[in-house]
Amino acid sequence: MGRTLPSITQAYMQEQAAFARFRRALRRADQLALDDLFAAARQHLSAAAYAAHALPMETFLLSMLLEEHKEVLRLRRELDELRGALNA
Amino acid sequence: MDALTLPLNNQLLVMTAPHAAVPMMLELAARLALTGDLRVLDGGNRFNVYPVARSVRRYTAELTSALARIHLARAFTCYQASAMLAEMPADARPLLAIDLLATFYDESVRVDESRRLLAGCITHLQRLSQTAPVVVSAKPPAAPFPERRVLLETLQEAAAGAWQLEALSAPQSPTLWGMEA
Repeated sequence: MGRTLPSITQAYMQEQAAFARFRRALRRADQLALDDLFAAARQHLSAAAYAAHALPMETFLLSMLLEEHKEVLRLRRELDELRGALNA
Repeated sequence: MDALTLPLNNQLLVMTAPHAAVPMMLELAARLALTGDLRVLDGGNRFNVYPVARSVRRYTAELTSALARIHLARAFTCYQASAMLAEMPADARPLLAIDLLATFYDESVRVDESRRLLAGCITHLQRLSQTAPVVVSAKPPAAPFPERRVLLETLQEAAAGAWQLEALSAPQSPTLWGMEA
């Protein structure tokens, strides 16, 4: 009978395409940063599919935030280790 | 979409467009869902809930309750479409039939059989339009099947209003030497 809803990957591609004009207006460095954010969201597509949210972009934004927070936590831990090494 | 004034009158409207006016029908579904229950009969498996959800979210934060007001049924054969319409009670809920003729264009169903089923469907659409607005979207048949065009014409003739939607031509951009060819 075929699919009755686009797959989460199709939804992701559509959302990314919807921001194509925004991306084009950014500076090159910002374009790369935006690409990184979408790449981060892509890592959690299976979770986004399981969530089956009516507004998938909200799930993608949360995935981006998740990856950013993981990076903050990693940097914080490294900083603590460096501080510990300096104080030792 | 802007030409369709809400609330719609109790009548049968038919919109014809190359892609069965799907974006317009989805926007109409979103707007109708803001105010009350509605029925959607999807004949071409074209009801994509993501654009509807986005559209609803633009008007209200009550996304879940608005989406719950949309009662969706998908027909994968013209027999199913015919049976669904026959069993549908006439009440005050508007009906949107998206790409209704898609299953009637199926080449494995004889043209006279499709015509017979469509005639029954039109009777039921008119019955339903006595108590609620009924908006039907349809697309013309594919080029290799011109004999199926009679189905679209029959549907348009039965409607109280029939709209033919056409894509706007791309605007011409001026160049240094005048307009582009």
